[in-house]
Amino acid sequence: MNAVVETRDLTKRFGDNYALTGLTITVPRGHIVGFLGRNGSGKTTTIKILLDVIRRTSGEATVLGEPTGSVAVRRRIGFLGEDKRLYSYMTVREIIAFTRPFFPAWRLETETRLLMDFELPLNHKIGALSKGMRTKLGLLLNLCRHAELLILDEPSEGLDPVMTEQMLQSLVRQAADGTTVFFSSHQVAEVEQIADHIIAIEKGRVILEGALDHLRQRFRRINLVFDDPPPAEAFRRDGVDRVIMQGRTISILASRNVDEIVALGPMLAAKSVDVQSVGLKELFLEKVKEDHANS
Amino acid sequence: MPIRKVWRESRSRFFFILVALLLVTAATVFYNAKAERVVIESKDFHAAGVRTISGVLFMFWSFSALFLGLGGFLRERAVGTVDYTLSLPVSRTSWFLYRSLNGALQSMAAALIPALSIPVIAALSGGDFPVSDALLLGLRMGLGGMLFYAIGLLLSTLFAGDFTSAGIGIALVYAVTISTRVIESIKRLNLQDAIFRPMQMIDPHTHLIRGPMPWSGVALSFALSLVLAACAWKVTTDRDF
Repeated sequence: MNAVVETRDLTKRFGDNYALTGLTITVPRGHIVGFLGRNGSGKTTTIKILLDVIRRTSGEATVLGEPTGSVAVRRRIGFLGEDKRLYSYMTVREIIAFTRPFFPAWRLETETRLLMDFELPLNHKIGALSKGMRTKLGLLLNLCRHAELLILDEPSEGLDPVMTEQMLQSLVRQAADGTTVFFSSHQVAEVEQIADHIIAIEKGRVILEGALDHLRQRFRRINLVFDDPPPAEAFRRDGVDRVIMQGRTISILASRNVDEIVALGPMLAAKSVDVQSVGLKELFLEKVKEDHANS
Repeated sequence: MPIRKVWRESRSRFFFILVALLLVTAATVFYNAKAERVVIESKDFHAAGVRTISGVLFMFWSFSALFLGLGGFLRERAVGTVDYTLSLPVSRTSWFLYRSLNGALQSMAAALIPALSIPVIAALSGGDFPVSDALLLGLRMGLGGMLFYAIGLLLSTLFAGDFTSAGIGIALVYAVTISTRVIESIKRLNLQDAIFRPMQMIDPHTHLIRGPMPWSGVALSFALSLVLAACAWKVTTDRDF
């Protein structure tokens, strides 16, 4: 797998608190990668380390094969931050003229098209723009770069549904053009909508990683109903990620050996056995619970 | 390209300071000249000009230079733009160099332009003040007083708020100035007395420059400014934003 971002045992400490605790991730080239996590899970810290805005405490991190902080690499990436703050004292025209010369692959035709599509007022000061307009401007400044890698931190934060949809579709188009999109979010629905690869983190470490299709195929929810108190211990075996008992029902999240676990139901006198696919939201929530249970 | 940003974000502050210093200079020159009755009598602005540059202009300029040193990545973090700036293909060292050179040149201009306005004010009033004297006294203030700018530059890398940095800077300058006046053993370290007050090079009768300028003191002060700037650079390249 050709990786555009790789981290190994990445840690970041702020005083006595660890924001990242041995984060090891790989962002594959040519994909839309959703970086999922709760608020405070370490997503922004990871992105800031990749951009060299903050420095790692230990571990390794590379972007496009180079250590973080490489100026040459920054010519090949785009970045849109959570609050989309840009220089309030510049006009839209000025920030475009300021940003353009930094990027040799800047596409003027994309700039012209997006200026029309987004209806950006060229002579308005950025400080007077709404968050939605700032997002459009931020997208323009990044999409024109023809970057190999686009990093976005909570790009839909504070946007209305229409703007969120516009933004997500822009990312899909950019990915179709060959750009790897790595975006963080705590909105499972939007990650599921456009991402084809997932990295989920909790408390600064990975709890779930892989191609979305593969994860969907791999995980199954198995619900078994019994007449008598169910034998939960019998289901604690290889491939079972989580067992939940509710009265006479056992709910199992399995990532492997699904057939074997299902076959165990009738053997243990289960009244009914129901196998369901698992959505990303459910999977993420289960993994967060599992992580909390383990820690 | 980076110079476009550092100039764009600092130019309003610079022009505001420049206009304020020009107004202060003009008002003080006329006040001093009127006190000496030179406007009415000799039309000689020499004493008024020298006193203005070494006194009121120096005091206002030193605080202005400190303000011109403020800004940078910590300030950008406070307003939320630092991520965008640091994601651009420019090293932290380059950003620092552009910002510090831009600010140093603005400080220098803020010293020279008001000083050079005195010959203009004198000429418009039908009097006289040599341009060469204004230039030398302005250079002495700008180069020797670059320390004030460097203090602002360093404080801006340590404290996020402009008001915090400015407050600490002013308090620091005031404390050092007073203590080096009062405490006998460190009197030689008083920047104003060592570089800006000595009038040995000023002729007591004509009030024109007649002797050598205190260039060694100016050079020492300027070297100290470079040391503070180097500390500011080190903090900028090493810390998290």
